[in-house]
Amino acid sequence: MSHGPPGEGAHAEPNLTPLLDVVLQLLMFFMMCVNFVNEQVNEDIKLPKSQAVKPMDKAEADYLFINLKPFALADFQDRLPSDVLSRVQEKFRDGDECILVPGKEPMRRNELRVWLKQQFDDAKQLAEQRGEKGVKTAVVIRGHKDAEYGQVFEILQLCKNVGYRRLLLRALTKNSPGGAT
Amino acid sequence: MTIRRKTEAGPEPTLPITPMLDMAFQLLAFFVMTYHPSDLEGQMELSLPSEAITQAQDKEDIKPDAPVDKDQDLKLAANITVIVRTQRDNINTGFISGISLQDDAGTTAVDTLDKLREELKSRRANVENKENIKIQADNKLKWEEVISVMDVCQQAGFKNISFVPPPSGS
Repeated sequence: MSHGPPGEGAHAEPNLTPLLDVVLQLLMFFMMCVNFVNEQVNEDIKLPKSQAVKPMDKAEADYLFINLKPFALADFQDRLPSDVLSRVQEKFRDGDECILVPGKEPMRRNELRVWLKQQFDDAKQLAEQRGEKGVKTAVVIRGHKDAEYGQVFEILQLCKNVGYRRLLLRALTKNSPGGAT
Repeated sequence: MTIRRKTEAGPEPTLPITPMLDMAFQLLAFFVMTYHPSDLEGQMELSLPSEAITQAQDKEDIKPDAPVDKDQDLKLAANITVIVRTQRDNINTGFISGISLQDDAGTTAVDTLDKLREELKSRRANVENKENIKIQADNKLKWEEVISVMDVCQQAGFKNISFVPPPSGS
């Protein structure tokens, strides 16, 4: 049996509409699930795992993020301009306590104190203008799993002394698939 | 007056599906490649003594000349303190080397986190303050280890965890 060329009358055309529907649905799923890099958090911080953590309250927007990790030059080499990198190199040795705040150069604890005080004063002024009672900002501490207790404690104490009343500790939920092991 | 014109059935409009499908596939490929399930990040609130607690109850309690105890700042009124130690031998530095429980009765050493959980559960029944607990860890103890001790405290039923300054020289 041989198959000849199709006749002029029969012209098979696949129906692409259902395929397009499926593709668009998949597209929508991935668009909604895509996790664009959040500028507030630092990807270098490998958070410890915990069963005690609760889901984040997304309604609350007034956060101040403080990332803490042992300094590693490799983390900054391709990310910072050369002049900033040389300043950072002068300031830190590998393993030193390094505090990372979004939009700021890596800082030490005394620099953090100044910055926190400034932030608190600004927030206080703003709260007074709005007629609110006290500063509502919550300080979120994202400590690397290899950070030391003493370092985290000092930062918590610092936040408390500056005047912040809400301190939050971040960790990964225990069943999280991509968590540090 | 309305004029009705009978028009002939023209060519049926067709929507070009193929280019749209191409574009949708390209977008889909982009999102599939950039997609990675995000780590579920959670948070726990650190318990600080409320303003009401830190205020003096009576006029007699006000002691303006009393020295300020800066260490009190992160502490809550708790009956039990979990003391966590680490070695400093460059091999096990940062990992838990010893755990002990301190309360009114004295200090008791526990071997593992599981035993700590059991001990905390049994002691919780007898203490006045069933919600609050303090953790005192060595300066060099890794944060990961502190979090695991916090987990155990929560599992034992203590909801409010506060920190005590690390012992000097640790």
